[in-house]
Amino acid sequence: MAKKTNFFKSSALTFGEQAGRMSSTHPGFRLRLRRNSARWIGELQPSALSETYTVQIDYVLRKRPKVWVLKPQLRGVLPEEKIKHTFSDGSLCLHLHQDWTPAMFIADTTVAWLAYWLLHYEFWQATGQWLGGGHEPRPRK
Amino acid sequence: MATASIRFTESFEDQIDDLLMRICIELQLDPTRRGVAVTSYQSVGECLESYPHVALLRPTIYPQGSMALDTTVKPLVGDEFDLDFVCQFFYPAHYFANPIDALDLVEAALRASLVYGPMVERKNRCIRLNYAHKFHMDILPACKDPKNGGTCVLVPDRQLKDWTASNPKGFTSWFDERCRQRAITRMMDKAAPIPNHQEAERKPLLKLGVQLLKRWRDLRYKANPELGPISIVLTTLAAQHYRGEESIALAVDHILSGISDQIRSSFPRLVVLNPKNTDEDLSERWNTKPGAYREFVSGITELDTQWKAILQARGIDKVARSLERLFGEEIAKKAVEKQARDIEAARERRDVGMKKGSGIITALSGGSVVPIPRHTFYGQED
Repeated sequence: MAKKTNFFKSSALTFGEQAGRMSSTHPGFRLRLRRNSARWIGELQPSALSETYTVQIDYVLRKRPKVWVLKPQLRGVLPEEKIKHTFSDGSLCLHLHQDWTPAMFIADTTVAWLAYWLLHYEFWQATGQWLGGGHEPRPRK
Repeated sequence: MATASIRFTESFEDQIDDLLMRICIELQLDPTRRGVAVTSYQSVGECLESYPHVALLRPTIYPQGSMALDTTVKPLVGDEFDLDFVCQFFYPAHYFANPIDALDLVEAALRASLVYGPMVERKNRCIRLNYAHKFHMDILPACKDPKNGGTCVLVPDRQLKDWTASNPKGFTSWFDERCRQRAITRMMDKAAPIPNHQEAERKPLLKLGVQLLKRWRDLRYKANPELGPISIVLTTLAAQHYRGEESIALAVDHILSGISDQIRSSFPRLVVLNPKNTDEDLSERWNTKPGAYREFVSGITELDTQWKAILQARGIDKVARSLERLFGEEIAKKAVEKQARDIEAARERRDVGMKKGSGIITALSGGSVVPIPRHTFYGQED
């Protein structure tokens, strides 16, 4: 697939570059660095009327970052309802595969998309409609 | 359509005011009903002026109450919409041997009309015209009040068989002055007999606050409307406690704290006088309906607590649910939805970013806001 080829061909930023950008853009985020992965935990408040969310971003070099909301616990509008734009493991689906490459700063892409997701998560809770754009997947057969 | 900035997301007051403003826009009287009101007012005026006995008394006809103050709110589904007009005679009250004669004269003029005759209903201080489509018009005869002077008038009261004091024109100018406490005054069209229909965005904040309080009243006392505070009482109290706050949310907060304090220090009850004619007790119905006063006290106390909780709440959904309870589910949901759609429209225009540090989504401006790169939320891993 052409998209995947582009993804791997692009030159990846190093952990150091990602960490540097993250600490300058979101100084409140704490970083835990392992040999092959980085984990940031921090707080985001997507609008003045919004709650403050504790979020976690896991990054394995060159892999798509995985994003979780730790607090408060996310919930569906209706009981048992699936949360919009999330994966089956509960992490958030912030973008299509081709939207992100390892040459992009997580601080400028993933975190911005995450904040925008959180804002529309609250609007969804309030109105029952997802008003932040995006695609719904075709149901699996 | 104008592309509104979404910078309101940066401040709690601005963002909640954006929602309250959108609620007020929904509360505006629709142009159809407003049109009916204006035309009816003009035709009734012509009908009265063409009746010889009324014409001799050189009447002037002008709106009073919410239409004059520009604080009308769309009635709840099934509720009546009303309009109040004064028919003021040039001559002082003693021209009439008996105060009821003034009511009878207006009644006779309207009954003589083929159009209005069948719509007439006698009320204590006015003659009511009942229109089809849930709308009525009250016409209040009035004479100059030589004792109090100025724009003060005397109004006949059927039950008292006497004249009672009032000053609708003075009240309107007083209210407009209270509205202008803001540092930045807003354009107002004072020359028109009924203020031109102002878009909610251009209205002084006090008027918006009054509209919100009236809407709350309509819902809170829906089951027993006679127990709810009348509009003129809510309007007077709101105007007295407004201190020129430049946020609707804070203005309402200050008004509610002020009324609650006043209730606590008033015994046996709060008295609301017309500030431009202290002979008129606007809250006189609480004398005969102590139950309505108790309901008013518990309603305002409850609202004051709820409002303060909203100002402390965080979470758009939580704030939205509180606004739904106070102003109605449909109207509050629509306001939240429009705010969300405006933000999404700004993102599509690529005019949205994230504030460094906090993560607040706002309009792009300077170096502290990181633009949101193009992306598409998806559903689940494929």
